[in-house]
Parts: sequence; structure tokens; C-alpha cells
Amino acid sequence: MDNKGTRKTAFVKKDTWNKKKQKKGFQDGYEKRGLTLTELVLIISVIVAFFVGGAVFFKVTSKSAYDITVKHDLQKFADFQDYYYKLNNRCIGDQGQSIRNDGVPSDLPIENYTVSEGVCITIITGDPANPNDPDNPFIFQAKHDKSDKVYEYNFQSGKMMER
Amino acid sequence: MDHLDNRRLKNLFINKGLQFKIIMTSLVYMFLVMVVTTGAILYPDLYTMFSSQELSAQYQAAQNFLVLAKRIIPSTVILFVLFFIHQLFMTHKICGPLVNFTTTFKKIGDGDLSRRVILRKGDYLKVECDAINGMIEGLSKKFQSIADEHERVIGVLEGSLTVISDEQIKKNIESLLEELKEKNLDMAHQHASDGDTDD
Repeated sequence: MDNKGTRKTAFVKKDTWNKKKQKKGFQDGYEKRGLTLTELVLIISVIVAFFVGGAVFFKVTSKSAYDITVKHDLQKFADFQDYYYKLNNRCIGDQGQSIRNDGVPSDLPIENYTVSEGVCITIITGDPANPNDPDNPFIFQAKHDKSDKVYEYNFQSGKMMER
Repeated sequence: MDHLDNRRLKNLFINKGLQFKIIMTSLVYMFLVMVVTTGAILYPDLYTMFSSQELSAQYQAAQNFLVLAKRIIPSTVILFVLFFIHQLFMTHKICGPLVNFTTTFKKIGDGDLSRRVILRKGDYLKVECDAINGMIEGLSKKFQSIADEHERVIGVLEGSLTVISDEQIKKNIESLLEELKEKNLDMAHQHASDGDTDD
């Protein structure tokens, strides 16, 4: 049996491979070698790299999408509070109350208003009757359940920032 | 050829090397197609998400992206698995006949014209199989007619031995006859295993 080979094969032991081949009923002399080890590793690496690359890309981009969603909802909530304040001379909701759409019931129900899926907005500080008090500003935070980032909106300064 | 269908879709990797090469290369191409298609679908939303100054436009693009991603990821995985299975069966249907062809060609090379290529139900390369079997049939007939001609020549030479008186010519004819009979025996032996169509 000729065991000389110039390339390293995935089936290094030719005798073992031939035995397997006979057992499986392969035709004599037909395709004794599979892919070379290098080829096999290269192909699997390419496929795994694609999978990992794709997974990382989707994870990172999805996180960005969640953050954009949170920022948008927070801005929308701030606009709503501003509008409400102009009409009623006070904001809606008290410290500790939250409006959410992440599976947990909301304790700040607002008619015809909802946040995006997975978002939770909580009023952190401030008096709704005096939201522009510089010592105790009306501040609310927003977070998505699939992202770690927390965004905060200060009603008095009208600025949004990442915590 | 289907009437002699005694082979089945067993051993999905008949010709490991060739099948692996075709399948793996196809999978890599399939991946590239998926990457390009997914990229083309997602690009407008991604562009808006990361370059727009308007938060509402970014939000709309982000929502589109999340909806598409939710559908694209599972469908890509399912497509990939289905494509792999399809490739496995397809290459099996091509490599099965190829193994059979190779064995048959080897036997023809050895002078055995009794073997015929038999395909399983669903195998590809049916036209090629018929052509090969037709070729073997034609060669076999030619071979048979040569053997018959041989037989006739032997008969004529044997008849001529009784009428020739020259000893030298007689000796030459006898040695020629011996040679011819030997060759005839070989041909008869090669035809003896007719119908032996192992695969």
C-alpha cells in the first residue's frame, strides 16, 4: 500500500480510511482522499467567520437601534410633558412613576400615549407642579430592556444626556 | 435501466472529496449571496440610522432595521440548512452514477464488457448512463462478431489440415490454430460472465 503523500490529508492514516471505505461499500480505488486538512479548516473558518461576523454586526447594530428608539421615545415624552405643562401649568406624573412597554405594568397611564416595545421611562426627580425648579429639576430617565445605556432628560435645561 | 434498481440513497457521502468540495464551495457562495442581499436590503435603513440628523428619521430606520433583522436572521439560518441538505442530496445523485461509471470504465479497460451501469431511482445523468450502456452493448456485439469470425477461421483452418500434404505448411497451420484457439478461449471467458452487473 502506497502511503506516500505530498499533502497532509484529513484522513491521515490511509489504512484506516481504506478499511472505513470497504466497510461503507465504496468502489475500489475511488476517491481515497477527502478534503485536505487545510482546505477543511479554511472552509469551516470562512463559514464560522461569516456567522460570527454576522452575529456581531446584528448585535451591535441592534443595540444602536434600541438606543435610537430610547432617545426618540424620551424626546417624544419630553415634548408631551412640555405640551402638557403649557396647557395645565404642571407636568404629568410623580417621582418614581414610570411609563413602560417592557412587560411590566405601567404606573403612569397616559391616554393615547405609549412608548416603543421594550422601553421604560421613569420620573427620577422633580415636582410636576414646579418642573423648572433649578434645585429640584424634573428629570426622567429612559432605558431599553435589551440595552445597557440609560438616557436622561432634564426638563428645566431641555437637554438629553447619556448616563 | 430502472428495472434493475437494486441500489438506494444510502451513504449520503459516496464520494466524500468531490461532494465536500461542491457543498462547501456552494455554501460559501450561498453565504456571499446572503451577505450581499442582506446588505442591499439593510443599507438604506443603516445609512439613515447612522447619518441622519433627524431623530424621528433615525427612529423609523431603527424600527425598520429591527423588524427586518428579526426576520432575516432565522430565515437565513433556515435557508442555509435547507441549502446544505439540498446540496447533499443533489451531489449524492450525481456522485452515485459517477462512482458507477468509474467502476464500469475500469472493467471495460480490463476487457470485461458484461457490466452495465445501473442508476437508482432519482439519480441524475440518465442520458449519459444510456449512452455508456449503448456503447458497451455496441462493443459487446462487435466483440461477439469478431469471436464468431474467429470460430469460422478456426473451422476453415482445421478443414484445410486434412487436405494439405506439405508437413511444413501443416505445422505452421497447427501452431496458428493453437494460437487462435487460445485467443478464442480468452474471449469466451470474458463473455462467460454476462449478466454479472454488480455495483
